[in-house]
Order: sequence, then C-alpha cells, then structure tokens
Amino acid sequence: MKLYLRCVNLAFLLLSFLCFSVDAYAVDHLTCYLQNAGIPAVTHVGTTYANTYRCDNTYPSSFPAIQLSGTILGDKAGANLSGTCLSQKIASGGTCQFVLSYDPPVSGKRTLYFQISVGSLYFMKMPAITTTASAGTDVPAKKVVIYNNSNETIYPIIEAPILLFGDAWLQAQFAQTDVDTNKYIQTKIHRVYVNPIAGVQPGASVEITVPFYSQLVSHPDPTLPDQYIDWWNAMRVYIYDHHESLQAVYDSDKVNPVFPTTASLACDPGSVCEPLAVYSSTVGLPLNDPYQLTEYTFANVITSQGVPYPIDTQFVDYDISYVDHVYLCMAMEPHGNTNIGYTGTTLDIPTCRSKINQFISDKDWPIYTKTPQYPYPKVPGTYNVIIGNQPLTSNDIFDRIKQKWSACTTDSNDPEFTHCSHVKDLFDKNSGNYQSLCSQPAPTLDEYLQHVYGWVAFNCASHANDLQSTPGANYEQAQEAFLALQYDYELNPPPSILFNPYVEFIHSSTYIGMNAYAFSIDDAVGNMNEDGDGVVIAVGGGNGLPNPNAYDPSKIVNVGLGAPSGSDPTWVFYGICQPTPNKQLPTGSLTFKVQTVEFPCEVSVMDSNNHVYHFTLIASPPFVGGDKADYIQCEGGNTWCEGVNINFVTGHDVSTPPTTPLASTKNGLLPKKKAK
Amino acid sequence: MRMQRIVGCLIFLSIFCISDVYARQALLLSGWFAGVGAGAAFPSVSHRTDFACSGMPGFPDDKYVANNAKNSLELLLTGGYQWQRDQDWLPAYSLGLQYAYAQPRVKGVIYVNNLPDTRNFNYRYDVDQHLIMLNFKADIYRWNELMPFLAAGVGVAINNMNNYSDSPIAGETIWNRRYGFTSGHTTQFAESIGAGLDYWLADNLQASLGYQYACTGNVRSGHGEGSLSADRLTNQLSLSSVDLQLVYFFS
Repeated sequence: MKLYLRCVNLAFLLLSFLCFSVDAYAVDHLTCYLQNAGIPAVTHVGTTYANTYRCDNTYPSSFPAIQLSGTILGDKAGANLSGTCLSQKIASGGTCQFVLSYDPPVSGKRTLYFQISVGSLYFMKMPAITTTASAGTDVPAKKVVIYNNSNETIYPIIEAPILLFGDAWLQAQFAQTDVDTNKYIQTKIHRVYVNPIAGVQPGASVEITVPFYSQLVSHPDPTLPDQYIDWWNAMRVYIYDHHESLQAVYDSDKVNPVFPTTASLACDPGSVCEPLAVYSSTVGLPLNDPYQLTEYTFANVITSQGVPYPIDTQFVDYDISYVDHVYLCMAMEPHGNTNIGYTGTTLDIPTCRSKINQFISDKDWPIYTKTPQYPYPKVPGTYNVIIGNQPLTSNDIFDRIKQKWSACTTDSNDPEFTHCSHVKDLFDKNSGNYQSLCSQPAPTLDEYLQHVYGWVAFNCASHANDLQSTPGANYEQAQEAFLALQYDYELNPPPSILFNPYVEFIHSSTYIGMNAYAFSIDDAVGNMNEDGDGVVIAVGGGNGLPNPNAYDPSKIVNVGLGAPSGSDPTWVFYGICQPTPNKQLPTGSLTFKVQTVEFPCEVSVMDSNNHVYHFTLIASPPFVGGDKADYIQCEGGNTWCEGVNINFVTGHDVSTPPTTPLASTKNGLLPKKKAK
Repeated sequence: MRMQRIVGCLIFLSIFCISDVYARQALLLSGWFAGVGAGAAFPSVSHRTDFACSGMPGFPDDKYVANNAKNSLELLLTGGYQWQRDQDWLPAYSLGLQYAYAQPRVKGVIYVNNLPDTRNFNYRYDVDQHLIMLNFKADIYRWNELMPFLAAGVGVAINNMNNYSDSPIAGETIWNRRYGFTSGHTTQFAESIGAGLDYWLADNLQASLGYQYACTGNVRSGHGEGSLSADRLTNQLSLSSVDLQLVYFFS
C-alpha cells in the first residue's frame, strides 16, 4: 500500500512538472531602475554629478509598506546617497527615488556599484557606474534649462556647429597667440538629443550642465581638426514637438556616435534624462522640420583686441530665431540672473497656434511643407520666403513685395515714398559700388530685394563693400527709414500693402505680440547679451523663468560708476534690487544695467576695500521731469548716495560718485556687510 | 513501529527458511557471498514544498518547491549468506547487507512571498547519500543459468545535504538573494523493494542485474544564513536505481 502511494506520488510529480511548464511568467513587485543617468563616463574632479533611481511598488494592497535601503560599493569615495526612498517606506502603488551624487575626489577611472535592498534577503544591483575623472577643474560650465509648460511632449536637440575657419572661443580660452596655426577647426556638427525616446513630458523640465568644451582625443593638438567639441560657441537648441519627425533625424544621426574623452553634457539631479549621447553629422536639420530654433553663445570673445583674445565667461548671448520662423511659442532668459526678463512669449501653445493660424489666414501667408505633413503650421520669416528654395506652400508674397517696392519707390504720393527712397538710395549706391569693385552685372530685382529685406550688402570675396561704408550714402538715414517701413503696420491708417507683414505677426498684439527678432536689424528685442550662468528656455508658458516679466528695453537704467582716482579703491561687485552686492564687475568696468525689475529697487555696489554703497531707485525710467528725489532715495546721512545723479536728457542714465578712501567712511558713507 | 514490523518480518522469513532447510535436508550449496556493483540512481522528490523567511518584515514567507532531481552514479557493495536448493522454483534465497552510495542533485524554484507570479529564483543542492540496508532476496525460478529474483530490505539512509545555491531566473527578475542554507545531515529509516535477474557466470560467480526502489526519507539542510537563520529546508527523497553486480560465492 505504501509503495502504491509512492507511485501515486510519482505520478503527481510528473503532473506538477507539466503544470510548472505552463507557469511561464514572473514579475518583481518592487522594481528600481535608473531614471536619470547624470554621472557621465567622463567627469571632473570637484564637480558633482548625480544618478536618479526610481522604485515602484506593485505588491498587492494588502501587503505592508516596506522600507528600502541603498548601499554604494566599489570606489565609493565621493559618493553620497539621498532621496525619498531613504526617508520613507514605500506602500503598494507608491514610488520613491534614490539620488546617488558623485563628486570625484581624485582623477582616474573609478567604478561604483549601487545596490538597493528589499528587506534583509533580497537586493537589486543597479548598472555599474564607471567614470573617468580628470583633474582639470578649469573647464567652465554653464546651464541650459528647458521647461515644458505646454500640454504636449517636446524633444530638444542641442547642436554644436561646424567651425571650418577656426574657433575663436577655444583660441581665447587657451590664450592662443598663434591663432593662424592653432585653429581648433571642427569639421562636423555635433548633436545631443535630450530624451529622444520619452521626450520632456508636459510640466517637466531638464537642467543640463554644458561644459565649455569636450575633448575628442586624449591629447588634443589644436593644429589638427576635430580635437574638441566647443559647446559654447554659436550653439543651437532645436525644440521638436513631433516625435516621428524627431525620430527620423535621430535615426540618421545615431549611426555616428561620438565618445568624448572628457566631460560632455550632463543632466543635473532632479531632471529626468535619458543618457545624453553625442552624435556627429555633416548635414543640418531640415528647415521644414517641426521645430522652433533657439540659439546661444556662452562667453564674450573680443577678437578685435588682438591675441590672445580677451574672453569674459560671465556673459551669455541668446535669441529665439523667430526671424527665421515661428513654430512654437517660447521664452528665453539668462540662467542665474533675475534682472533681465524674458524675450519671446509666454503664450500657451493652443493660443499661440490660434494666432499663427489667424495670421496665415489674414495674410495668405505660406507655411513649411513636408511629406508626410506634421499637424501644426510652421511659418517662415519674410526673408526665408523671398530667398526661394524653401519647401513652402505656394504663395505670391514676393510678388506683393515687388509691387509694394515698385509703388513706394516710384509714386511720390505713396505715404512711404520718402522712407523707401532713402533705403533705395543706400542699396542703389551699394549695388553700384559692388558692380564697379567686383566687375559684376547689375542684380536682378529679385536679387536686389533679397539684399534689401535681409539688410545685406552686395559683396564679393575680393572686396569688402559694407553697407555702412557705402560711398555717398546716408546709412543712418536709410536705416531709420528701413525700421520705419518695417513697423508701418502701426501707422494710422496702415498702408494697404505692408512693407513686411511678418513684423506685424511677431510684434502686434493682434498676433503673437512678442519681443523678438522679426527682421535682421530689428531693434525691438533681438539678440540678448547678458550676465548669466546659462540660459532658460520655457515652452508654452512662463513657469521656470527667473524673471516672470517680459524684457522691456524702455525700462533700462544704465548705471555709471564714478571712476576711482589715484590709489582709491576700485569697484568690484554690484547688486541689483538687493542690499548685498553679488555680481562681479569685470575688471576695470564702470557700468552695469538695471533692466526688468520691480521698483523700488535698491542698488548696492562694493569697492575693493569691501565697503558697500547704496542708493534706491524708487520709480522706473524713463526719468522725465521732476527732480532727482522723485527717482532716487538715500538713507539718512549717506553722502555718497546724495551724490548720485540722473541724466534727464537720456532719461535712462544714472551716474554715481567714485569710491571713497577709507578715512572718508567716517564722514557719511555707510559701509555694510561684506559680500560673500 | 513500522520499522520494527518489517525487521521482524524479515527475521521471521529467515528463520522460517533456515528451519525449513534443516527440516527437509533439501539444501545443496549454501555459503557466504560478496558482491560489488555500479549503476544509475534516479532520484525523485516528494514533500516538495517548504517555506522560509523572505527577510521582509510583515510579508509572507517565500515558498520553495523542489521540482527536479538529477540522476547520479550509484556504487554498491553487498555481502551475506545465500541458501541454494536443487529445485527449479525458489532455487536460492539470501540475507545480506547492502551499502549503496549515490550523489543526486535536487533542483527547485522559489516563489517570493508565496505569490503565484513571483517564481523568480532557481535553487539546488547536492545530496551525499549512504544507504545501508538489510536485504532479503529470493530467486524465484531457475532456467538454465538465469534466475529472476525479488528483493526487499530495510535499513538506514544517511543523507548529507550540501552545496546549496540559488540564482535569479534570467528574464524574470532583477532581484538577487543574499543568503542561502548551510549543509546538514539526517539519518533516516529506509525501505526498499527490488527485482532483477541473476546469471551464473561460473560455479561461484554470478552477475546480477537489478532494479531497486528505495524510500530514503528526509533530506534536510542546516540552518540558513542571515535572515534565514531560523529556517531549514526539507525535502523527501526516494531513489530508483538500476545496478549491475558481480557476486562471488565462497564455496
């Protein structure tokens, strides 16, 4: 009987095997994964990087919450752990995060391992982190921060250009004196796709550290091409919103990965980033792709002052390329500077698209076309319409422009005859000079108007023929006339055919109504060059902008500091709308600007003896009428402040007395706390 | 109690046979024998399911299910006394001691927290098994040199469990385990039945091809490590074996 039962047992075993063979899936009810790879393969000693790991609990709700723990193994010096997973239990359906930050303590290759324990028995091994730290802490870095305030996913691309004639930024940074030999030529475009798979989700943001440059070889030779990628000079940031189009360019780029040997772009803690891989290309992104182009250049380099070129890394230069096209509404500001205000617009995307469609309908304006066509319109700027060779819907814009030009330059009764004549005079003379210097035939009307609308001189390689130097022409008069023509939509009544309808589209509140380039020499708000440690791009709303107000050049106050005499202390720091100076003045500089701020605004300045001086702007410029007390307030007994003057002619300029020797502080100056 | 009954039965059979021999003076060649053999052991596991701490406070224990056992070589030593009769039916019977050694490997899976969808780990361990049996064997019929036989035995199985290890099932989990189980040994009551063929190679040399099914009792690990320190892993093992022996009869 016993043996019979054993046989039954054997049969049961066989049946069990069959049952097991169909039980073919399994899951972990607590999973953790690398959410943001912020520790790159190449790092710098003294810089902090971080990986973020997300953990999800999918245990049945009847199970208790559990406390996770994390352990760093391997070369863990310089590594620290934080995050919500450490401080709180994770319940069923819940999530938490670990943040592993790493500040390489020494140079060399290091490998860290991160394990997440689920109770005392089970643990998860996260992917090993191998990074090579270089001791060079002299590679400056700035930030590119992108906020997606829209209700759709965006896909940014950061692109470094081809620099076939050399790179003045790297020449300046490395203080090269032989700039004809050490050219730092870059023959390829380099692109970094930010989250090409998942994108930047609605409401999310990414903060990216951008080093000045990455080495492409271990021992660069500046006489050879492609030794570096310069991430600061003439950069472009494309914001796509159509994944299929993004995927197409990504697929063509990702077959050419590039592996810098020093730090490249890195995602900061708290941002959700896929690995920021670098790809090379020799082809620009298609003009008719669904993206909005923005541009930045970090640091100012002055090549006109001779070698080595002076470089000021304090500044950032940026713009949204609305002069080329309008696709997405967005705003830009310098990062780390609350004094500027934004350029562009904080319109939400649905409103923005409604305005774009209205313009297309009102003006019968073309849009970019592509097969297959993406769902939203991309509007070309006027210059891009008239230069031709653009994939646009059919239109008669150039015909209308030629009709306008013909009327306003020949009909003396045309209300814009004078302005058109002044512009025509400049370009006729510039064209004539070109024909003479370069032995070229007269341009066709199409060629002529392309130069007019682009405000571009007729040039040949052998001879310079700048507009400003055009013999016999009145450049200033022509420029003023050109600006007036561009803004003719503001006339009452406006002309039946506008000189440039695109300007109305950009600046009029009927349409987008923003501060941005609408044509090449637009003086509304064009290229910004401001103090900052990076740029902030906000898409479809103003969330994340350091200053929520639009940049307004009419509110600028130019502060001129009195020049110190003899051995008196020099000016070193200033502060805007705060009592403690926190921004360094470039050596020898005696000016700074107060821009888009709330009034009253306390201005503070510190000299090299750490004495702080104050005055308060109590009303915004322009300073017109009244007296100084209507605009500037001084603390009692602050004799230095009482010496601050306003230029009521310009309405925007304030001048201060010079610094005062130490002995004088007893006689009215108010030294305050030392700047940090 | 069961063991006592079986041992008693075997002793009774032996006494019966011996007294029968003396009574009827029918025995021809009787004598001592020794044998050596080898074969294959085919283990199977019963009492397949066990539980151990998951290391997660308040969570269900993990379920360990043994679902496979790996075959092993078996070595065999026998010795005893055989009585032979000049009859075609029941031509011989013997009482002897048998020592068998096998090294089966047991494999199983772990269900984390005893949930049906968390069959995430494989485990395995090796068993060193020493089987010492008192065997009664009866040849049923003699046809020329060939004699089919039946056998039964009782004894002890010394089961040493060692080399426990576990591993995540690839593609099923990203978890790993920190602790396992230490080695352990148990001595268990064992019982067996068998059948086979004896073949006379020479006057005092016999080849014996046999099958044996032995219930060898529990296999048990030592205490676990770390958070498993309060737990031991237990399975029940039985062994089917096919062996070829050479048996020498001392005349």
